[in-house]
Amino acid sequence: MPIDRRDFLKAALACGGLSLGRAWAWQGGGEDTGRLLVIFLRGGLDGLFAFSPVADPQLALLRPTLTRAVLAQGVPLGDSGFAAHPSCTALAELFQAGELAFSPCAGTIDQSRSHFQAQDIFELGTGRTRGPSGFMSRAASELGEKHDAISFTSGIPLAFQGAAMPEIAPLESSSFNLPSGRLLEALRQAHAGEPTGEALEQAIATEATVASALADGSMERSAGRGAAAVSRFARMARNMARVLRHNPRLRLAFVDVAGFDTHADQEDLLARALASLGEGVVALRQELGASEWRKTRVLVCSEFGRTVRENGTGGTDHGHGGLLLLAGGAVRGGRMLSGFDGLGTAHLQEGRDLPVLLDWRDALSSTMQDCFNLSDTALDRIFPDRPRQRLES
Amino acid sequence: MGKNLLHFLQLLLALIGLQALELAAAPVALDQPMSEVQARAMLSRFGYGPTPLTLAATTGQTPRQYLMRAIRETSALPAPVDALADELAGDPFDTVWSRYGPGGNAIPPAGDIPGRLAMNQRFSDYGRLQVERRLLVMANSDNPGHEALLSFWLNHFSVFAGKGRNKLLVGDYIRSMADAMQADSFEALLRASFFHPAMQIYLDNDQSLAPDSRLGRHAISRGKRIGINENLARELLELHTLGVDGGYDQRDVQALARIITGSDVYRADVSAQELAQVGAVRRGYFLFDPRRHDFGTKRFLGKDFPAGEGLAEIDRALQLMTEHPSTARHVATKLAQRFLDDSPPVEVVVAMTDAFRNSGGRISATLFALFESPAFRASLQAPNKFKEPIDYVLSVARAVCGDLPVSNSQALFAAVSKMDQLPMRRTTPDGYGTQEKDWLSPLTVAQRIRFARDVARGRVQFEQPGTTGSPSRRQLEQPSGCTADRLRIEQAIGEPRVMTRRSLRGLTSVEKSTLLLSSPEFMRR
Repeated sequence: MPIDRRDFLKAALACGGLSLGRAWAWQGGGEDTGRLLVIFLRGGLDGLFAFSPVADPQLALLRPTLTRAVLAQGVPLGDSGFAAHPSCTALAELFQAGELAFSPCAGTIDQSRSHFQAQDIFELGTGRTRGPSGFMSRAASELGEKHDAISFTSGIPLAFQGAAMPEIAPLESSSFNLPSGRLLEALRQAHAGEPTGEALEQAIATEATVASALADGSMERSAGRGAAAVSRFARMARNMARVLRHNPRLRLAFVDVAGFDTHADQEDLLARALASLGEGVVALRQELGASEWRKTRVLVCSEFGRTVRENGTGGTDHGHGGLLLLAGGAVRGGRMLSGFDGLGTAHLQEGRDLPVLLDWRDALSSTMQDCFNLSDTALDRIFPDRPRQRLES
Repeated sequence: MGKNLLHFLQLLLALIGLQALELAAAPVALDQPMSEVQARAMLSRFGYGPTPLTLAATTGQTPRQYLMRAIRETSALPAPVDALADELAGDPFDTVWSRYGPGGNAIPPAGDIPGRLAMNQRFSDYGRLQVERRLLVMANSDNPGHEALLSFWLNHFSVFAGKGRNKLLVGDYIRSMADAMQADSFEALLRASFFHPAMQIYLDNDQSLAPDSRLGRHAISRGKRIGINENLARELLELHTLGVDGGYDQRDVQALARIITGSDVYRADVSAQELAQVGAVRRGYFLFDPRRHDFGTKRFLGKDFPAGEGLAEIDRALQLMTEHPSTARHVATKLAQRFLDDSPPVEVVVAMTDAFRNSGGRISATLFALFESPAFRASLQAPNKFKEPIDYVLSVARAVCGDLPVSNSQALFAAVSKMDQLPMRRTTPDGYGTQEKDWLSPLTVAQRIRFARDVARGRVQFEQPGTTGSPSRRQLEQPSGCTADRLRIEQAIGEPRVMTRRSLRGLTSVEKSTLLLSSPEFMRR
């Protein structure tokens, strides 16, 4: 490569490109070899469908059709009073193996019940609805020179927006496949100093990163007709694991999955989406291998949960508190995080939604602390005004 | 002398200064003819890029003329493309709906699995061709402002063509919105989208059933789970009208969800007589069925809705939302962001908001306020909006084809599909983003470079095989075919930046075309 990504970042820094005032990472004495992958489920996952409080007598009354499967064939989750929907069996097994914990009432401070506002609030991580940078971009700054963040998306999610052009590796699309030689140099010259130029330089760097990880032609592509049905997300998870394993500098990773906005006929739709999520987490664990899995924490969550009552069309509408999963080889799993007050009307927000008992900033900052040993002041820069409820992951 | 003369001179200087200032800040006069530079920018802003003919026709037009034509008139297509567009449209919608709509006479019985599969395939093909047709029209319209504005509204009132019968409905939805646009009124657009089954189906409102309605009680008595679905109600407030910070709350969402119960989709197998018997009202393919409606009292946006009103309260709610001050601000902001800048100056948005309110939601008045702003004039001289993928692909096609028809709709479909912005294929109801942050990424830049290179190498055929040699082609004195001719590209781009010109040195002609088509300036409009 003609220009190294690090050189480019240094140049950007020198040009004042990183105007937010990059803070140097506080490197404590403890281990800082962890890795965090955030899986963001867009659309508002109905957490009560995935992990259901089967011990609560209200459940079947509030959700007469949507709880049939879990009541009949759910997988109990220890003594939490919850059971996993049959489609979440893989996740339940991780729970039983002590590598997965969950909170049924996690979420943001969003009051609008708007997907778009709630997602913005989640990704900004400041408690505001607008702002110049997302939490992943600020966290990447705190990790310092040697460590980087990557987004396995085609666009740049708000969480990654900030001063510098983030690294994105859209594993689903074909590679960047840029021209080389004279034409590439001319393109770089033409775009120099432009936002498009920054994106081009980043594409050049990421192309090298991905190429090294998948050099043996092992990139998994969509299965052709007649091939075994491997879910799209599981395929992608394997590729993510390869890129992460081959690039130890990548400590923060992000991926989003859409398709959780289930207003109508959600039983089959959501069961498929959840099965695919479970397959993905298992594929990630397998492909990373035991020692890398021990360093990795996977946090899964959505912009909000959905109404406790099912609606008239076999679905659920926008709500508040929702399911958060934390998985990884070193996670103290097999337990429920934060609380659950039951489905009695008195405990519901506006009589219809689960409340938020675990603030998303606390969940993320606690996990980041466990992964990277970040100082409180560093965490304050990433998540200002968080409630500071420490969550032991 | 001394003092008096000094005062006089000061006054004189001040006057001259003031006048100079006014001249510098003078807005684009609505009725002042556009220069070639302005016309080129206008054709990229309210259109998909200039061609020699459209540039000549637009230069000398006034912004008012350009916009009024965009709103009031439809598009005409060159003859061969027009025939192709008809072919893509397929059977008339009425016929298709009577065959395959709910209760259609050509739907195979539930047990006929191969028949059902074949039908689903037919649905998918039909839906895909409607999207291809849309791209063909956007690329070839003689009234590009019309298509750009229509695309804005289709994206504002976004429906997903992939959902169920929306594959059949999407073509009709586009037509209905185009018709509504001619009324030059926001309320007409809101109504056209609300009363179209494509929107009702997309946001599940056709499934919403009031528990204490006649059919609701009947269903409950038979042990069925039914109820109100608030999906469309929420998006009406949040996305279509007031905006998320528009000052409504959950109670308004719930009230609106009740108000819009009774919405249903017209079925071909129910006779007009049967509909009349139950008091149902048909509006196009939308059906108001009073047996599904919640006739109780409601309070919505601070207004009391008396019991027993039925369909009239839907009309009233749509009007209330149109007239709400937040709607003016929300729509003005979105228009300014699409057609001016990601962060439009506050005073421009305020002027547009006021114009929207004072005119009762006229689109022309709102956009005139945009045109009259100094910021808009400055932006026509130095365009800086990052093109959305669809803008980019169509402008490449236009630059390469000049005034030749872009007749290969499949090539357009493939390119826009790869870049994730197919019309009517946005899955979430917010529509595609229109800002730089929504699209500019390493992947986007790499994709555009790749696409430009494929076009420059002649690997993307914008002309449908078989349409070459048509009479319209011979009439136009153009270099042969849609080839990446450098002069033609430069004519579409205008003067390249110094850096771009410098970077062209030493490149082959294919490389030069690649670079021009993926230059920083060609990625902006």
